[in-house]
Amino acid sequence: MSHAPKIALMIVSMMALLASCTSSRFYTPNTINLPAMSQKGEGAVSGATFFGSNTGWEAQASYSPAPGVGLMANYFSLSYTGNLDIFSGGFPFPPAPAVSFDGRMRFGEAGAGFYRHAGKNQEYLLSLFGTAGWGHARNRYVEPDVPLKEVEWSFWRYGLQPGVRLQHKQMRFGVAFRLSCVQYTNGRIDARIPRVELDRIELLETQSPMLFGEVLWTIGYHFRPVTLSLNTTGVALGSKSLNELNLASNHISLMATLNLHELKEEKAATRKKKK
Amino acid sequence: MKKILRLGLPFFAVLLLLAACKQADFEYYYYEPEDYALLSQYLNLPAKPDNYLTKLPKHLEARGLFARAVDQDKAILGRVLFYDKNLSKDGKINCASCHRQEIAFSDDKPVSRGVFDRVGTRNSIALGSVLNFAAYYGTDLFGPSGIPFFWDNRAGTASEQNLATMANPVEMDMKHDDIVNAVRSQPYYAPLFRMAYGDETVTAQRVSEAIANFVNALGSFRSKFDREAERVIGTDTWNSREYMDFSGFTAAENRGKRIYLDNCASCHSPVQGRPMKMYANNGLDATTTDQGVGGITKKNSEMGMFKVPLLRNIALTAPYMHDGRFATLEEVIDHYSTGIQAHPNLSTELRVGNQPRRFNFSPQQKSDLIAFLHTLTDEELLADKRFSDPFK
Repeated sequence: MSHAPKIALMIVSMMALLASCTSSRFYTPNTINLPAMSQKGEGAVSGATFFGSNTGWEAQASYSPAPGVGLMANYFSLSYTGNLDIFSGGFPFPPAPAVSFDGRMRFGEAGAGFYRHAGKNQEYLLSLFGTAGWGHARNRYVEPDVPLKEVEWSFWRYGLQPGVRLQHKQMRFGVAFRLSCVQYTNGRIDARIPRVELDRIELLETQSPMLFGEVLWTIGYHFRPVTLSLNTTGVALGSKSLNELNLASNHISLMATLNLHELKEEKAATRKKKK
Repeated sequence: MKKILRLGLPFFAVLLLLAACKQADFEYYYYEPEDYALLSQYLNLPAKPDNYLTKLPKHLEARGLFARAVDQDKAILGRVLFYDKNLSKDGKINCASCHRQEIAFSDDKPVSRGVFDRVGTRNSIALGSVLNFAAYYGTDLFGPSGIPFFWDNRAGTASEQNLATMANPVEMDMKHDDIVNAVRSQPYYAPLFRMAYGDETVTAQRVSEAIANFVNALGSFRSKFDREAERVIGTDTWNSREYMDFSGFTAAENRGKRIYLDNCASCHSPVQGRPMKMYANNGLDATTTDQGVGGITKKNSEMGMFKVPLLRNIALTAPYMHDGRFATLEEVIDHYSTGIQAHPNLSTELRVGNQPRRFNFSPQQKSDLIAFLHTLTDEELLADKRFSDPFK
């Protein structure tokens, strides 16, 4: 495993590259759940929080009900604030009024898939999961001396995510890709928001469903039964409309994962010691 | 892994199919429900507001021509006012009576008729002859530094222009108080004023400002000429590409373009942006009774001079000239070809020494020039619902 430091360096570099921590008012990906199961009956629960202008938390759980088969459930809650860029080209005078926004997004999903170990020492864990989830987002726009304006919508997201984990001593590395199909369903839009923003939302509506790729880079340290990890998930690939909507968002999460199987073993060992 | 792919990919494909089957369905709301119910009794206004922001093609923006921002709510109110016949003394005339959308917001009569069939003195200027009203004339913000309004350039801003038109006894014959009372008496204006101004107070200034916002959004920039000019001329501002043939033009249209650039563009603008001269005398008569700009400024050097219009949608806006004397484009070209009169203030472009210039266009050249002028028609403007009559 002499290449482990190189992998660590690569992952940290990629995370630094994506560390801008930008959220989108229209869609922000949750951290891709890349489970670390090794056998039937193993499970883990995780909790994460975010850095930067985004605030929120997420919870993830995974369980292996049969050899090579995994289940997962994820929940994601995000709040964000920012200033709206409402300059649409043309003559920049008089200056457009400042418009700020705040928003929140909630998303829950479930998934099922397969995993298998690979490598000389079974140090690699390959997995492939299919997921389906439902989310809701609400944005509020604040202009000086004007009543608050609100937009909200719901969406389904379907995903297919291959991933690979590498375990080296106490270090945990991982990379996963998620092919996501986001289908906006119903929404309620206050059309008095700035016209440029309304155009973006109309584009969102007409472009739905949207297909794009998301990437996870994760690096962690394991001390039984907990793994502390730093994760970056970002929208990496997509159509031109994704750029117009500024959907290329990403965020970094600090996650603590409790391995239930190991916890059980630890407790059993403690009990044994006491006896 | 094969097994995984065998099972996983079809699973995802099915989910994708499920997703693709359902379209997003967003509900947009703009007016309060009770307001929209009231408005809908009288008006065909969309629940989702029309977008009055305009982005001009790059061959125009590269020349410093920008469609400046208009206030969307005021433009919506302005649209209703523009088409409201209650804003005329006899209740039969609205702005659109003399600015008809189907002919690029012009009038097909030599001189327009106002309330009680009173006859005006000049031909109605085609609002659709400009690339964008605000970009062409400037806005109220810039005041008189923009191009003035009317054939005699007597109004500095769109608000000033529309108030003068409404007050003119041979047009709408409405004093300020009449306008305010007429607007107040119509129930559909209360919600529109609230949206535009935050309250229901009606003033003549607000009425004129709203109409100004509506007309400031008007313009013609989607013609065949514009499509080709954006592609071929683009951001080139050195005028080196204007003479290049447009591949989307016919041979006659390209020949006509060259004739236009050689003989007409020095006054009317090579790219139909802003005219090169604000006003001029074009030799219609050797002596003039309507003194145009000079009638306002009282300067001898400006007697008999009138606004130099842009030629966008020119094929639709007959009859031509400030008094509507020419019924066809052929007659206009014949005038420039052999009919220019020796007025003392005749434009220098139209004279050779002290004599009127004779362009002596051949029949082929006339036909080519007319073919080119037809490329300036913007069909989209004629059918643009944002500028159409909203009344039921």
